[in-house]
Amino acid sequence: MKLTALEQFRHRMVRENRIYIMPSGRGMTFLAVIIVLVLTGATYNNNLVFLLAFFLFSLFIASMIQTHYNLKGVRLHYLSCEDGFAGEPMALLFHLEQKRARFKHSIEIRPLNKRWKPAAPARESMAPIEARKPVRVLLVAPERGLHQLPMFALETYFPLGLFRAWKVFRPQGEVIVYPRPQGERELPASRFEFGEHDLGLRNSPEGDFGELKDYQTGESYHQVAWKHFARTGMLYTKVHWGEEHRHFHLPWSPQSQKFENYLQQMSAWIKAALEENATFAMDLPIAQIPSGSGPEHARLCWRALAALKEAA
Amino acid sequence: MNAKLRPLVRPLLLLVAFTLLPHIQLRPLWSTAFVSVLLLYRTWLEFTNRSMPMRWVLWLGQIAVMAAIWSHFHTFFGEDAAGTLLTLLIGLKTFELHAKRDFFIACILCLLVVMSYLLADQGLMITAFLMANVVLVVTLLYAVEAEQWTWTNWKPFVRPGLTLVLKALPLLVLTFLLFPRFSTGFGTGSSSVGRIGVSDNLQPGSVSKLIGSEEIMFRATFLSGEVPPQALLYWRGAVLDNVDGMNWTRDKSLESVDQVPTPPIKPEVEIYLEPGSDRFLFALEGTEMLGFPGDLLNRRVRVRDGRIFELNEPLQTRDRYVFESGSASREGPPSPRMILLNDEPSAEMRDFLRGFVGKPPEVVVRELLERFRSGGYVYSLEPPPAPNLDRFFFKTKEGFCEHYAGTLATILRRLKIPARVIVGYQGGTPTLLGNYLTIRGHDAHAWVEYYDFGGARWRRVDPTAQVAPARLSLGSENFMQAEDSLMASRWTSHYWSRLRLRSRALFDQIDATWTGFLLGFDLAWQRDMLSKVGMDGDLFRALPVFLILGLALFLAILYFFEAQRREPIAEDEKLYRKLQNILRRQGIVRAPFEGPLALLGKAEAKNPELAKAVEPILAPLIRARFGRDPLSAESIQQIKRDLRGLGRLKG
Repeated sequence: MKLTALEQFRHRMVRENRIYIMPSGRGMTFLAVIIVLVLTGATYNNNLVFLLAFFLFSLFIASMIQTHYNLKGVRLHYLSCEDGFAGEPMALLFHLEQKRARFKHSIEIRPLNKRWKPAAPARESMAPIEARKPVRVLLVAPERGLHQLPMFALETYFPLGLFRAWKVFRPQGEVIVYPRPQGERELPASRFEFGEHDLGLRNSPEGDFGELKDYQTGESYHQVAWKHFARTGMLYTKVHWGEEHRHFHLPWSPQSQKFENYLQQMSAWIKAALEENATFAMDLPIAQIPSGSGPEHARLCWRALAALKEAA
Repeated sequence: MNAKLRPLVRPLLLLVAFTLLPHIQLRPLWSTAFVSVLLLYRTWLEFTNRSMPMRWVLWLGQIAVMAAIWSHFHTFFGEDAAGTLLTLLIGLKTFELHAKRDFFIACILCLLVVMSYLLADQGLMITAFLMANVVLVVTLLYAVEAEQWTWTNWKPFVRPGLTLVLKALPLLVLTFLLFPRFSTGFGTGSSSVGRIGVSDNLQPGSVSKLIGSEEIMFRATFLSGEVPPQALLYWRGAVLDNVDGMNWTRDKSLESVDQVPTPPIKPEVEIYLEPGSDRFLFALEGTEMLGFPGDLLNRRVRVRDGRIFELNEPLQTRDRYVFESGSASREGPPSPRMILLNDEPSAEMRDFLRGFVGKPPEVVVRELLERFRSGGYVYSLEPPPAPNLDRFFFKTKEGFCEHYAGTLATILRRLKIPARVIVGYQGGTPTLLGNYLTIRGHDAHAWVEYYDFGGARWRRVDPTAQVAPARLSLGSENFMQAEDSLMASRWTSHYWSRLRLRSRALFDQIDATWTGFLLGFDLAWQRDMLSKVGMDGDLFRALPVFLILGLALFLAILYFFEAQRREPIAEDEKLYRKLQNILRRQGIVRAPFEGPLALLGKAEAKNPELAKAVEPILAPLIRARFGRDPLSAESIQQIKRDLRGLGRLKG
């Protein structure tokens, strides 16, 4: 990815894993109070007020060291990320790692990009025996598309809230954000009635139980034969005799709709088709995705939507 | 409110209540009542889990508080008004605790309230209170940042706070000693009024009302190390030269006021004066020079007729001055006012005075004193009312020092001998240190000075000494005990009262030493102290540089110790790490995401022999970490032995 000159400058100046520390808003207030105390002490020639002021100042300084040390040796490693829908929370998985066996308190993991909002504050503490700790950070995904991971900050105000210490991390990786599934348009389903000649096995939970088949990664857990798993330790999928099967063809016909809105509409259709366990095929402006079903297929379609560019 | 902050409300209320303790003594009663009601209501809301009052109620409360402060003090500034205002605001702040910021502001308000106390009192108790308060504030801020609090398990919260305070102490000492003392030049305002103590008018009852007062007026240290005998300790406060019957006052209009010569003073006596004594600066007879050590041009002190020293502005807080004695005859001849009387003697008095006509002043005084001693006069705190001098002198013959002093001075004036009444204190309570006295309210005294034309000087004469000689030789405190009057309660034994006095003396002494240090610590002291370690001249002017260097050093040391700190590691973890180290040498490395069983599996794949040795070590460790089976002392020993065996196995 190409960086602007400003960003390059920032990359050079703001290094990863370096601790930055500044008084927080509360810390500034605290300093102001100390100055008021010193001026009062000087005005009234009152040494006890000086004593109080210097006491607070010493605490201020001592707490600075502690805040700094609360981040020292802590690193953030990016593991993986699930795809998400725009505007909905998506989970990013990280490892917090610390070199030395220490207590680390109240470290917040925050995206440093205004487009990424945390869905819930991710505050973590580490015990000395935890050299590594998995952390799940929930972010609200920005608009549809393929995004570079944002910068992340490890941030702490511990122990007194007077200082904010932070570290910047630039995890490398891409996040795929699907269009938000929403739209009013109905999609006419191509409905198949299966006659005697078709004895195909269907994954539909409706219909009569047919037979068991080896579980394939990505298949829905609802169809897993858990009783068999308990007995044998092997995973099987229950397959039913199909009575009815629905098939959808998702057309590329934005008509008067805006490009993004139409993508959202398509996303909603994929979601509906997946929930009905139907097979579906999808038209794209320059390509076509053949018919298929199940979560894997849906993910393929959604990713195709996420990667679409309007100019195409 | 942030649900995580909810458990912190009670500790905060406790902190606020603690902060308000000195308020009861220092501030108006209505404000104490107001803030107590607020706090009790808030506590009740907290314990019954009710919702907070509406926001506009709080706004109304704020306006009410402002109005109350204005109607009581007529200002929002100054230590009293601002201090009271801050206290009331804390009370209201406890009703809006939504975010961390609110807790923080409440803590800051507490610290500012503590500051307002320090302006009124600088004693040992308030210092201890200050320290305790800061520790509590730190503890609370710590808990707020950790977002948790439990009452049963408070150690994890209090300990880090205390540790932080301990870490901060060296820097506190450093900054306190090296921070250059400066003055903002705003002055200190003046609001203090004479609360209790002698005043500059004397009438029957004006001194005796002080006799029950144990309040300390001032403390005196004799720097030579020797305290003069009690009978010589006349602390002069004011000269009263204007008489009207039994009332003696000071005629301010006719007095001349002079600047005191500027120091250097060679201090002989050091006084720690409490505020509340109006403008009086008490000094012994024959004082030549008097001044405050920090006040290099002696702008705070003036001198009045009769070598009486006085403050230009009443004292705000306890302060320290020193004085030096000189020749007593600096005063010029008395003015004619000193024999003025505004009434004519009665016939009885005229008869009495006839016997003294023509005698020299010394003889007159001696004979009058003789009459006081043997004429049936009684020293009494509650004398029968005597509407005029004649009735006291000839009939009731019962009175307190103000009666005797006033009477003697009046009679001397009738004989055309210049005389005046002096009010002040007499004696003082010795303490454990040899050269140190405390002078309390009950040491208040009045006596007479007459002018000796032969010696061209004023001489002191104390008629009370003739009536109750023990008052002087024992000191007022012991005298009162001997009399079994107001001071020593009838129902406490002598022993307990002695013990009480002793412990009070001890505390008072520590208190005085501390305040002495606090008050004495000014620019001059700083300069003096630092010049002793070789920092004077340019080096002293570079004090801020040293301060910053010291700060940097402090940071480095703190950083170093923080880096050296090791957290305690559980025994099972230590053994597990040791095992991993041994296996690593064999090339068996556990990936970060792998558990101990995977490690065992890897060992097995590499060397089944080794795995057999590893398993008995690993099994108890797994039970200890993941099960409910903590390691016993003997199993730890066993594992250590096994580990040693494992290390050899490799060889």
